[in-house]
Amino acid sequence: MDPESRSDEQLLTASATDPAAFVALYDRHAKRILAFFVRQTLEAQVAADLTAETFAQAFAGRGRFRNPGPGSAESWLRTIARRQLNRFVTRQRVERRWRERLGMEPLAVSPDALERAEELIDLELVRREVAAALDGLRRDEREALVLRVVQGKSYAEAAREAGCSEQALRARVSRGLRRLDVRLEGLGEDRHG
Amino acid sequence: MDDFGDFLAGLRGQIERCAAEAVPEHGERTAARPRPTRRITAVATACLAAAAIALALVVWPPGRDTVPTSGSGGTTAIMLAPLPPSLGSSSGRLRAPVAAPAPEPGYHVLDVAARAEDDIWAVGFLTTIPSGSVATSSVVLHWDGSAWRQVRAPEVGAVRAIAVDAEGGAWAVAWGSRSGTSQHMLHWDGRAWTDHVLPPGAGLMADVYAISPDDVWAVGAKTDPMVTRGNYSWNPEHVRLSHWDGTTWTTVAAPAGARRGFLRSVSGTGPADVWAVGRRDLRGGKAAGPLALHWDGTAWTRVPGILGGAPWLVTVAALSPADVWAGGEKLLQRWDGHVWHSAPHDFAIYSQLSVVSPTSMWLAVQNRGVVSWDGHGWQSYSLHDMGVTNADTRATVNAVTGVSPRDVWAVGQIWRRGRQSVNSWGPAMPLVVHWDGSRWRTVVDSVSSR
Repeated sequence: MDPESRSDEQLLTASATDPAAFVALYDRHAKRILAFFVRQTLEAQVAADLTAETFAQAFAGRGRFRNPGPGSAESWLRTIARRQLNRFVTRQRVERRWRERLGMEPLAVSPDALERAEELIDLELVRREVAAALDGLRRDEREALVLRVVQGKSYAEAAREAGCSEQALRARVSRGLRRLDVRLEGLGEDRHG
Repeated sequence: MDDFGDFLAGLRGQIERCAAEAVPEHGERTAARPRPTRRITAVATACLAAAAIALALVVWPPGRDTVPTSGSGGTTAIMLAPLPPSLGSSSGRLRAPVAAPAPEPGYHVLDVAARAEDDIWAVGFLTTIPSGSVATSSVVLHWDGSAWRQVRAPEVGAVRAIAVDAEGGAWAVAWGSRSGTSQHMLHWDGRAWTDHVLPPGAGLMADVYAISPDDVWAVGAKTDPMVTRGNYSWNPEHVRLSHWDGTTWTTVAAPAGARRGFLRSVSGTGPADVWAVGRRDLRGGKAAGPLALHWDGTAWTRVPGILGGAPWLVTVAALSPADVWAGGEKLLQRWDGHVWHSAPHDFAIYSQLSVVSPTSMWLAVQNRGVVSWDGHGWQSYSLHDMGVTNADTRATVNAVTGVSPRDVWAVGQIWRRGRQSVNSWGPAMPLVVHWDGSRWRTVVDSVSSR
């Protein structure tokens, strides 16, 4: 059957016996999953690695998917993605477990993507989330997010204004965003307090 | 998401390979055909390299919807190489097993270097997606005074920088992502391109400066695996300088106090006046800011005094030992032989400066076009002013080089709006534009599918 006309759930179920159907599922969701990770981590290479690991885990576990109804394949993928993100947040490392199991080699994002990662983030969306949840943040994180995300300053500029190193500012921004993620999406307890 | 296009396509290729190699969990209906992706990629790139020699010249129809303001009523497009679809259909092995929208191939021209008005080189890469996996192949172009031609060169993947020496030789830097750790350098000796591999530990190079056939510098960094301390993770980087003496490449130690960090650009005015710039890091991975190194013919020393204001420097260009420009992001500095001075400007610097004379300095500003310094102020040429873009095209200028104030070349890539939907864009095509002292003319903006 033409993969275009099959639902996500049909593709994922079929992929247990016809692994090629999984590629069609990837085509539908890869960009969205990558965008999710870019937005959450603000790091191009980390987002790429998390995306790869998510699909590797999904591929390895495709035979265990049970179809409770429309939309369940996407939320199954998102659950895996969130779990990967949580693991990254708590350990500051991207696991390669599933990719190694499948014999997948590391993929580097082009240097351009790394340098322009911040331009790729859907800042408008982040801005709205930030505005809604700023009060619950630590003061240094709130300041970092306001400078970088709300006012759109470069990391270097924002760091100068905050009177800290660029690296510290980057850390505050990503910590703040993760904390927002915890608040907004209920991803379990905050381990950075 | 354009900058992640290669990654997404590469990951798709890996998943496709896993799918092809997977044993179906319940038996009979199998899609498993072991498909050695790497070999297919090699075949595809080899076919491309061979096919790319075929050249044709066509005239782009003038006045599509707007006549370029600075154009002469029609731009000449030189056809560089056939597009891959013919390749895909000519061989059943290259067909993707899943009916997914075919990812687009794309040309990217990343750097340009001029020795004389009839001897100019440009380099970049071509991406094709022969079986779902991305194949990146080298693109080397040459202008002989009358036409741009694609030149056969060893396949080293994407090529990011090129430099020419005074005698007609040239060195180009492979991007180096293919194998991950070994740095390939392409060398033109006047007759052919050959592939040289830097010794282990040399790191990955970002830029090259060729003085003569036996005096060439390349700069970059060696990156260590990620380390984590508390909430911080970083990849320690080490400054790397490599020198070619006519026979071998040797790694030269960076001066004390400037060993951590990376270099992004190298240039100079001769064997005893070479500059390299980048970023200096402190122990513990913290960035210490812009780094400038100078070679006086016998030793590299760190030149302090360059201002902050940018996380690192991306370009250096020298006109004389007492007139050197260095820039990065929002910072532009000029060295007068003794101290650095700030040069006001209102654009971000992410590419190589090209200094032709004290009153002719040029810079590519990505999707804003090209800017030039005439000794007193900045002149800005938007892509629209240059006649490159309109409502249905967008483009990026990656590099610019000047032979004289009346002979300047800029390179990049151009996209045209797709046919199917207003939000889709066609594949990246090579873009080469020329400044003759009074106007810009587009010389190359497409390739042939012949």
